[in-house]
Amino acid sequence: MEELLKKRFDVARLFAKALAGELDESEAQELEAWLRESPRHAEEWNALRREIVAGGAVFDLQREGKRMVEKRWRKFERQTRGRQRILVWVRYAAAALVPLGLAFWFLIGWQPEAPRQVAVAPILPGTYKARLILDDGRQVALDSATHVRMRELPGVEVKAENNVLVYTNGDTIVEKQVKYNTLEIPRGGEYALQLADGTRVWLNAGTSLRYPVAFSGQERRVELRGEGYFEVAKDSASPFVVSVNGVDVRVLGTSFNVSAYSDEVVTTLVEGKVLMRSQADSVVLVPDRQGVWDGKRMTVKRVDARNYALWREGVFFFEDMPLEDILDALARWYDVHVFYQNAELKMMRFSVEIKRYEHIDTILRRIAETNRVRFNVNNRTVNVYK
Amino acid sequence: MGMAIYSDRDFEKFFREFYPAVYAFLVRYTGDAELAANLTQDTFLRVYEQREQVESIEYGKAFLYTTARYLYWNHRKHEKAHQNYLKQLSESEEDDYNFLEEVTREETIRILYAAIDKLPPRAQEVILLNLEGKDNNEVAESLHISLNTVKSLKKSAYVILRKLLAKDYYLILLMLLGE
Repeated sequence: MEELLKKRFDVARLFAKALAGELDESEAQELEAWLRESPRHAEEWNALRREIVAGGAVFDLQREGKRMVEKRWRKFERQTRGRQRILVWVRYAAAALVPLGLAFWFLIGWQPEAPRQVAVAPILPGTYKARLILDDGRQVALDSATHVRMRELPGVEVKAENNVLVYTNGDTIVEKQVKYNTLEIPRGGEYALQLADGTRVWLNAGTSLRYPVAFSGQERRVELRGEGYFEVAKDSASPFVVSVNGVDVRVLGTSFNVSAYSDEVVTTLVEGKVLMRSQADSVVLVPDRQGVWDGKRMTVKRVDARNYALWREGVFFFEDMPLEDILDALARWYDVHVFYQNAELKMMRFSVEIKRYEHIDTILRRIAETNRVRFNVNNRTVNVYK
Repeated sequence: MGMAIYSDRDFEKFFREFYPAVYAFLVRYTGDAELAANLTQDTFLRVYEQREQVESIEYGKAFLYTTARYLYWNHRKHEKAHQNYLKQLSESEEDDYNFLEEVTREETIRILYAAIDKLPPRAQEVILLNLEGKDNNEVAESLHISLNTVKSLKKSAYVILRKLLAKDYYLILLMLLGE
């Protein structure tokens, strides 16, 4: 989330400059590229622009905030300084007259000084859960207790059972009608899916996949955000395409993992052959190779591919990975936030292999055993120190 | 350049610079100005408590908005303690996107507003009308000034804006004031 936010701060500056007519050429290209990334980006930009053009009202809330600053800062000073004074007071009172001290403590109203202590849900590993969004927008919540059967198209049965959502193409000839479903996996979730062509997909936490209820036409195309492991059913007449962050991962029949949580797309091939293609570059992968798209170009690495699919067997596997990537994965799985004492920590590299249904502390302790880094878990935030 | 918040004076500048944006962000989340003001105050208190960790303004900003959203969530959880927890979880993906969208919106407005606010009054008017999509002729007409005056006001405004909108502007400002 922190990286996404930083990217957004850059985007905000580009927005502001664009609105003021101060973009230089490379910034204009940068903005253009970001807008092309997703239709939602373009939508967002247009909505904001419309608001600005509509007049000064867009500034109203911040203008109001600005008028409040003076008063609010003085209050803030009272709150932070007041706390130190009260602590001293309580100490004296405790020495002499404990009950009076306490009475005072309650009377002055401690509440605004101390950020409220709130009961926080314990940090638990992810479980089987997902949200199915049907073509007409209706939503179905899925978890391990859900058993659902329905029909999205004549002849196609949809069934959720034992943590897998299965689409079965019956004998009936399917009419030429394309309907799309989307399966969304929240942070702290995972779920599996079998598509109408028999392709099996495992989806990791913080992922969404959009796919046709029944495939028709020249290719079998699905859209991914996040991470999924695909076992594609063979159909030499109709290639299977995973469309992700502007990259097409194109295959005939094979098993591979695609991870695309940030702007990167990382495809790891277990068997078969895939073509990874963007507008700018393309590579062909053979087994035990990993193709990485960094938004500009493709590079290929040699890896032990099975390790990159271990997550669906309940194992976290990180080999010589930056701490940031490791903790990002933990954050999605345990639904926590991560804060770093300083940015250098993010670059430190670690190797870890551990069961992902363990308590988060077990995993953090394992990393901390190297004595290079320390963790402190507070509420739902993991703080990282040197 | 690492720019941490070392002293209370630094924190004051940080507070003054970002208070309006965080407040606006929370008003949009809560739809309640009083609640938003209280949550904004709590947000800054939390960040203040952990200010040693804030190693850059970027980080401090991320910390601020994340904390603001977290406090808002907490507030809602208390309000609707009985509401289905799973339902809230399944909403969190969409919520993440909305969060990023809202932060981008407030940051854009903050940067723009701060920059325009520092222009001389006449140039300010020209730029604001310009933002609304008016061309030079229309601007001249609505401000009752000549086309040439509009042009020269715009020219000087752009020179100032360019400096104010540069990425490191706030850092430089902080440093100069911090000495």
